[in-house]
Amino acid sequence: MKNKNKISDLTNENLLQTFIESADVAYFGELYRRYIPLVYGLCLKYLNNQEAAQDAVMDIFATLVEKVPQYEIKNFNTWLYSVAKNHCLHVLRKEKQHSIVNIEDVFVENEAIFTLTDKPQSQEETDALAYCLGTLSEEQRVSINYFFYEEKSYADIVDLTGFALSKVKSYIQNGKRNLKSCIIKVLQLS
Amino acid sequence: MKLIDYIQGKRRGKEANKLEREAMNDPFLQDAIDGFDAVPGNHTSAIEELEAQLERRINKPKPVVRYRFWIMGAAASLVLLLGIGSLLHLDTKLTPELAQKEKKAIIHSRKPIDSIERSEQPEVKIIAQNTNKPDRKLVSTPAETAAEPILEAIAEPAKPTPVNDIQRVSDSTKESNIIQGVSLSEQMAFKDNQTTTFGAVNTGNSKITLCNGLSGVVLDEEGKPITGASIRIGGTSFGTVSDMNGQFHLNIPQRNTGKVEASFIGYEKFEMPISNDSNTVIRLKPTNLAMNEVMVVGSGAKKLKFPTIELSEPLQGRLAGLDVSGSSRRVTFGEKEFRKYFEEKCSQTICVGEEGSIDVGFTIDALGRPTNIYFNKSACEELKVELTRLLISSPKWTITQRKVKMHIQLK
Repeated sequence: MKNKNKISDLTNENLLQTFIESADVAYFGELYRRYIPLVYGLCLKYLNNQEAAQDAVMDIFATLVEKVPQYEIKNFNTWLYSVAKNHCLHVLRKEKQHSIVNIEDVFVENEAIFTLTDKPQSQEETDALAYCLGTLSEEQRVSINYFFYEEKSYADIVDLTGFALSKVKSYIQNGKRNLKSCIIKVLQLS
Repeated sequence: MKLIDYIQGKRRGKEANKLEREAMNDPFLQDAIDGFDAVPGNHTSAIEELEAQLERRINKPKPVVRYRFWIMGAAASLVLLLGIGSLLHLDTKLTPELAQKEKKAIIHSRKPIDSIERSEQPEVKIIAQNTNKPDRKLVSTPAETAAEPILEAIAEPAKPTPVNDIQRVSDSTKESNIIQGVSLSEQMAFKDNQTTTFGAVNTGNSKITLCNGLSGVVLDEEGKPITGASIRIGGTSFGTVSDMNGQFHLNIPQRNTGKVEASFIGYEKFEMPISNDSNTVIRLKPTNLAMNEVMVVGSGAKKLKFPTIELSEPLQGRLAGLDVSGSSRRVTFGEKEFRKYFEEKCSQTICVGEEGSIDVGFTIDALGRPTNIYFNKSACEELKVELTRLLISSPKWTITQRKVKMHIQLK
């Protein structure tokens, strides 16, 4: 393929732009190749099946080659996310296998999240945080502490605590949500 | 760290933690990680395989243009062949009694199709292959068909019309994009059908019935006709809708080998191979309205419940004025609220024993932040500093772009 080395050096934005201008699939192919792990993982999550997910990855590519030039894409990452997700949901609807999607899982993750290590600015905010950490359940507090303050990965926390991976994830997820609502409450009352 | 490393098992330490944190702000990444965790298997090799597939696809783009030309070429030669064939056929079957009629037919069929339609010439019947079984909608004059050998008048007009079309189509495809190309070539294929293979023209009725098609009726499970059901050829734009009596007729382009799909809201999609049957009965089964459909709607509502508040913002001291959409409470902030805010937050130890009042003026900018703070009445410096601090750290003011003057009295 022509310019192969050059293509792999281009940034995502350049690849997209060049594809739109030249209609040369090679550019878009390189861009999509970079996204394969993300798209494949996403499809695995929704379709829960390796083969179906692999098919979906290739189908999405075919769809995109047609769709991309028709849209003005401001943020390719988010755009691709919604196209890919919709594709998977569409496949699911077709196969009538909704039951395997755990809605709770799907949407809880989408909350905008803060990082606890962004140091609170005032004394009362620090106090609120400390107080709220105390209100969490033991598992949530421990997991949050490891994850945000000691920068341990999920797998590390599994080793350290003996909790299952899915548990660790949900402790952090729910702990964070509890913390957030607690802090909002405390600061509004004061 | 990249996702691919994470999938390969480098899941420990700060780098992994960093990626996991990143995922908290990136639902795409989060979904992907969840997916790899949820489904066991060798994901790395799956990804490599996908990359290879992608590579193959890019390097072997569909020869779109050549393919089209090939179709056109084939169509053109088909037209010529049929034309010559029927000419010969015509010669052998020509009888003196028919000579007069034949001339008329040829003259009229030289014109474009629509003029044939409008023509008042009765008894002209143009026929090609596929007409052995008369179509259900075919309106024919029985006496003529029975008594005389069928007059074949396709030969002459067939040649010029499609050839012109091909010329036009191939010219325009050069400049047009793929989509236009497709529709043009479909159009062409359709024209091709009309000129070479259409079944019967009853000129008296001004109606052309295409024989190369599928017709029939769409019924529900009780045998009642379904009006408005869609019948189409899978993956193409060829389709039709059933009429008031559930009846339909679908023209089928010759090159199609796909499936005919019939569908209607609330019924399961019905599929059958393409045929030229004229008495098809399609029975649609009602779908078991899945609970699952409801679930999807529910998920949308659920999503709304979660207020998407960046907590780092409240932590920067803007919390009191925050609109917490989840609880549908809008907090306003103005002079009254600021007094309360000031009373709550102002240090009790400032300006003890001094005159505890001050006049303050400021402007609320477009973002609801107090700016250009000034003091009229001189009080103790501590109060000025404290008041400035509290004004700057106060929540967003609800009514923006205005000037505010306040008199503040220490208790």
